[in-house]
Amino acid sequence: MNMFEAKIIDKKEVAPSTFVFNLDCKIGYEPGQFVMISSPSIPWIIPKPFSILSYDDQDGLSILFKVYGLWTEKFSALSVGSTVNLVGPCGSGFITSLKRYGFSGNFSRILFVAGGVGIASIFSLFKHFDGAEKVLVFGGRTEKDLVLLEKISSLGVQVLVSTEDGSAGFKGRVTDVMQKLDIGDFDVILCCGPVPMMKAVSDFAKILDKPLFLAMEERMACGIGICFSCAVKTKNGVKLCCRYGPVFSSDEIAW
Amino acid sequence: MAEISGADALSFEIKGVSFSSPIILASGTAGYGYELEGILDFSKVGAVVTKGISPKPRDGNPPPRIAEFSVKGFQIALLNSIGLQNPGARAFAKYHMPKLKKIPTKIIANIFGEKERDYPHVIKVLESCENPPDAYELNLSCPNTEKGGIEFGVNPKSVQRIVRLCRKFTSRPILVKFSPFSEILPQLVKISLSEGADAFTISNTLPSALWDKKQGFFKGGMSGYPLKPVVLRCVIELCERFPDIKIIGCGGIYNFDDAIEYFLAGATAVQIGTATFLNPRTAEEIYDSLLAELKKSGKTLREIIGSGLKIRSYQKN
Repeated sequence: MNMFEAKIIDKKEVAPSTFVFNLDCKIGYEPGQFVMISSPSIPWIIPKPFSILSYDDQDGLSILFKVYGLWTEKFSALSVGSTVNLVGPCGSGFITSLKRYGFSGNFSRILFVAGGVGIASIFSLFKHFDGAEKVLVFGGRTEKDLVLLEKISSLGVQVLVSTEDGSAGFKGRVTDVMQKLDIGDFDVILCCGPVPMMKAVSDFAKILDKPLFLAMEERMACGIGICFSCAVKTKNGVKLCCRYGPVFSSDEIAW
Repeated sequence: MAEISGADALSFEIKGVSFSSPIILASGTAGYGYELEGILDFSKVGAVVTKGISPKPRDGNPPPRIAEFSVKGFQIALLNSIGLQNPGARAFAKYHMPKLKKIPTKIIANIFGEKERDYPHVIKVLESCENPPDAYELNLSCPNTEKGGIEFGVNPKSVQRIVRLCRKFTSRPILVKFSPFSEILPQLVKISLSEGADAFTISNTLPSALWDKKQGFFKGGMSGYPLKPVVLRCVIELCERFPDIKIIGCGGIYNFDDAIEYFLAGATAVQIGTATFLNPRTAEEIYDSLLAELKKSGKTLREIIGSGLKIRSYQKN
């Protein structure tokens, strides 16, 4: 973990109110980890967490976010060339969490489940599990919530889409797709999205008796384990989402 | 007498324990300290005050534990209701203290209790461990628990009994952390002094509430910018009334200018709280600015401490 000053080198509105920012910041990370960002031009006294979408030497660090409040509104309006402050990489990602539960990560078929911008935590797993067969169930309220579809398909991922309003793919929720479409057998489920969605996926995984790992979300003030705001109730006591998590085994969470 | 200069000019003592910097990390905003290793230069931090430690483990409050207070597009304050999540005194002594002792700064253990006797109990446990802390801070001001904390901190009899009991179990410095909420703060300070308290952390967060359309009221302790004028007033009044006591100012300190106001009011040292969330190096940066400013002005920190109080009385005339 370190502190950086990073310039916004590119920004794209990939869907209405949904942005991808590229920051010139050299950072090593594992999928599921996140960064805390603050900006001298946004008058706020706590930084905000962002999942790391991807990193490479050319495009730098990419983050994906949706405008949902005043801070993200101001952040989305920052122009290319603006400098932001960044702390990261934060937390324990999917690989650390899998190891914690004795999984080597040698999977032959993986089911990914993402809801909306929750795809940010999942996206770099596709490259990480290069050799495995990958199926993604991707859900949103409308078609506009389903971003980066072309890129995901180009990574050799079979994508099954669901929208609540039926504007794209299967009309319903991700768990409806999982129940009604033939998604075949798989070794593990890796998931990120709104908490109610993850709870539903957790119930489903229990029925199928498959291991499920989730990138959780909770209000944070620091991202580095010093404020104790982001409590997640687990069967082994209260854990911090920012340090022990954000990736948890579904079995460990006291839903 | 030789002139005290350079970094030495920033050191101070409480009950014979020397702290190398007057910039301290406040309880509840620095974890157990070692979470900041690799980010923060601890040689510029006088001490880390730990998360509150109680006799038994506490899960803390359910989420959400924080809420943001914004005014016209500016977030000016944070409300928290963590509820003193901690592993309990024995687990703290066993797992956290050995790691904490490796950090090159002093460790002040923040103590919390639901009952008066919990405070000396925790001190007893920590005193008997292999790596005891350098000092204790009695949290008599937490606004986020049903029992204890602020309940004791506004009751002179409880304060008297708790400080008296704690004094029996340790010869190390005892700091008492009060709330700015209490009108009887001078009385509480006087009682604590008579029972052997060595310094005072002024203050904890301010009990507050925020309305949320979807979730209703969020009750918690407020930190951030609005706390500074409230706490500064408390520090001024205590320093005027008790010129010889050691006050550690804590509330709304984000930069050197904020810190210097507390020194002008008479504080011996300051604690950095919520500001560490935004910039984990805040304490270090304030230390650097303070050192540079003293060098530039040719003054010592001792000359600055309390000097603002004289200006204030001049304005009154």
